[in-house]
Amino acid sequence: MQEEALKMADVIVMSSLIIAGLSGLIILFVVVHRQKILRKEIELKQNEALHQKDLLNAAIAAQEMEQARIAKDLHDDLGALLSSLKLRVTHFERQEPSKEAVGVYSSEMKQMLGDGIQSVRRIVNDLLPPVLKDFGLKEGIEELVTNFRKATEIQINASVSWDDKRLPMEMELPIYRITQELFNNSIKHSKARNIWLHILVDEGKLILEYRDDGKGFDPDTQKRNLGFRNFESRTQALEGTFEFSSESGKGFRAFFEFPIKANDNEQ
Amino acid sequence: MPTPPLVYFSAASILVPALLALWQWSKLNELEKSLARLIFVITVIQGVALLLAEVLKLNNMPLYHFYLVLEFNLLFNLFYYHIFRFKEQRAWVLVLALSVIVFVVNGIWVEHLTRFPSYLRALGCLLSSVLAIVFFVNKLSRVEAVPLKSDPAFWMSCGIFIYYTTNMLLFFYIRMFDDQPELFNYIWVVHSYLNILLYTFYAIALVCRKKP
Repeated sequence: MQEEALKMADVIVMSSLIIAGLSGLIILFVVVHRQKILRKEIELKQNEALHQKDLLNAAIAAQEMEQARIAKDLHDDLGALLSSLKLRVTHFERQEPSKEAVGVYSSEMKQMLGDGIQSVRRIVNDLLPPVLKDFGLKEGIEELVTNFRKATEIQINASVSWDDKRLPMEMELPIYRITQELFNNSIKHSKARNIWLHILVDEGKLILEYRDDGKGFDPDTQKRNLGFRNFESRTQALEGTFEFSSESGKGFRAFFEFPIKANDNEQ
Repeated sequence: MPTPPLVYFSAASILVPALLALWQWSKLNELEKSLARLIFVITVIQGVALLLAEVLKLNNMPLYHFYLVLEFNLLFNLFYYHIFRFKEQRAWVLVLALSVIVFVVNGIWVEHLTRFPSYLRALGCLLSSVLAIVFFVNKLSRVEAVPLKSDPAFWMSCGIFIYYTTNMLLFFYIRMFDDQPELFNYIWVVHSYLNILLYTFYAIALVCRKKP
């Protein structure tokens, strides 16, 4: 009887110790699993930080490129023009020009000033297209399409449809730039024959769909260029979404969606 | 049958977390203070139980019945309000009322107040283990900035989980050895090791967090 009771006690104690071991294992599992979750979370945050840094770098690079382009335009066009104008005026002062020569000089200078004004207009237009400022995104995109149609043989099929309400300026310019960059990419790199652009406003969102039938690229292997990172940074600044798909030989598609915020500029 | 020395040692081991709690009292947060209150209650009740049994040679089981109910209520409050951060004030009243009913029914009709409250202890173990399990499930689904090693709730729950899940079986069957003091002591010695383990976890819970 005593022996049986002792056996029973042993069994109870052993079972309890096994339970203690299992409890320990469960705790160990919790610790290990949580470490795993924590590691993933840290990795995710690091990736996010890297991505943000990448986008910031892209934005800075784009800004610097833009500034360099403006500097080049000012130097090559306007600078050169003003220098030659100054030379002409200096030369003119040193002479005792006849009435006829005054007429020739004056006409040349008028021509040069006219070129200068054109140059200033072009630079201003590149910085902030007046049509965008004065008439809004819809007109701006239409003008952009017209200009690209004139400049290239690619067939551009565009439909831009929404009521004539102006969007906030902080939305209009980035969307204009995105569209411009999309056209530029297709024209420079894709060898496309057709481009389709569809922009519409629906339920408080602006949707931009873009497609070309160019040579496309493999998104997994091809390093994203600055233009792509600009799409991302501009879209992120507008709290929108950006998706794209492409395959070698199968063209390129992009889809943007931007929430429309209240328009402070609306009158 | 003399009580094994380990049983005294395990009872005395509560003094470590109790002294730590007293020493750091002003720096403890609400959760740690709640744990400290539980430790103080255990210290006092263990002291009185030893006094009754060893000095006055009286049956201390009625005190043990009462202690079990009090201990569970303190544990419930600690988890419910300070770890799970629920605000519902009626919850503890409900738990207290149910505990009193269980205490009375068990003490009078199921297990007499003068006998070891085996079933009551097993039930308490089960419910306390559930509290620790809920804590661990929460920890699995949420990622917080505080690492586990500096989380008092984690160390406390580890101690509670190991101690109560293991003791559930020990206490459920300990009744079988009521009339065999040697075997009763054998089980009680195993329990003493677990007791020391639990109080060690309590002590870690009180010191693991960097205090300002």
